[in-house]
Amino acid sequence: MFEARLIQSAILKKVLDAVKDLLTEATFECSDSGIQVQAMDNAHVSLVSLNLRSDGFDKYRCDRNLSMGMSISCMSKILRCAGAEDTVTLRAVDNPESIVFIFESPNKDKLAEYEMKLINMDQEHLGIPETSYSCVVKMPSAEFTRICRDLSQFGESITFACTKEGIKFSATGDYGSANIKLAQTADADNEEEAVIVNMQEPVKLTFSCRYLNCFVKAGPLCNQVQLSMSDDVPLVCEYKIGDIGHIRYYLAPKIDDEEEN
Amino acid sequence: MVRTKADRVPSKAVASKAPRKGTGTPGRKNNARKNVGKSHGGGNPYHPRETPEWQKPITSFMNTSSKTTTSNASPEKEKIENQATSNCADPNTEESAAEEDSETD
Repeated sequence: MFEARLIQSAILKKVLDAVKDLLTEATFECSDSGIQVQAMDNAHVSLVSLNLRSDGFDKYRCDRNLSMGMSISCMSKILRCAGAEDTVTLRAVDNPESIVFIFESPNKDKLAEYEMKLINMDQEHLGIPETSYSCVVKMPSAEFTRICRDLSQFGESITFACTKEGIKFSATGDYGSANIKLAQTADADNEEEAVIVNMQEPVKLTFSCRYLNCFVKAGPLCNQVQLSMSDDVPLVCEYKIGDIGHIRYYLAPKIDDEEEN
Repeated sequence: MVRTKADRVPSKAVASKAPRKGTGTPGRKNNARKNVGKSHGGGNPYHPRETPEWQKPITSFMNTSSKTTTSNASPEKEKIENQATSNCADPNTEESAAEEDSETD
């Protein structure tokens, strides 16, 4: 028996909004410790890693480890049926062919059940190498969203240049070029609005706009985003999900072939 | 005195039409302001972009482990499915087996 209950269905709705543009289907690994998802987009360019800890749920029971293949678009449609204030419960038997979503209104006068068929799918589990990153930047997620959207008007890629003074985002295209500099916040009184750079070595990396603009869909989950960068290593773009877990996106930077050879 | 379009319209007509126009247009303006406020203080909408040609797959940077298949069916059902697929999946082997039988006869 698997059962996971969240008082705020809005969290799960936002999680689905954060992955539905990248993933069509994914395997949800449920165990005692919580729910984990690791999946690549169809083009195998980016990797999404989602972790929801069991202690973050209001009620959590998982008698046996389960790997449940789910259609993300179908799951997203079902979660849209939930009210913003509804409590959501996920329930499945030990050898499930389907999962049930139960939405309960705050005053418990409405109870809705939606059953979704599971899908059998091949999954390739990627081992993420432990990396000591040259630069780790924390900044407001709304600001990051705005920058990615604005700079995507100029070109297909955005260059992140990180120094101890701050981080500079730039893009070049047919219209011209754009540069946005964010200085490191001197007094981090308001942590949510702060730009904090933890730098070992300066880095300058270029990333695809298309994927960055998919990652920023997780912005509503957290006021801050953490960007971890090193030369020739995938960017890690991390959003915390309240006290329950996190979502991480991985994207390879532009690597010059000359450097490779 | 500068003449305007309103001067040409009879005063009665103005009185009857003006309120209707007045209620329609400002309402739209107000809605537009509300929408701007929701989207992190304006900015550009997302401009769809193609994936750059230089983009490398993420698999080049990660250790790939073995592929697994998520199977949520019960063990009994799996057995039945496996039997069914083994019977159906290799029609050629069945044919070749039949041919071999006929040759030995």
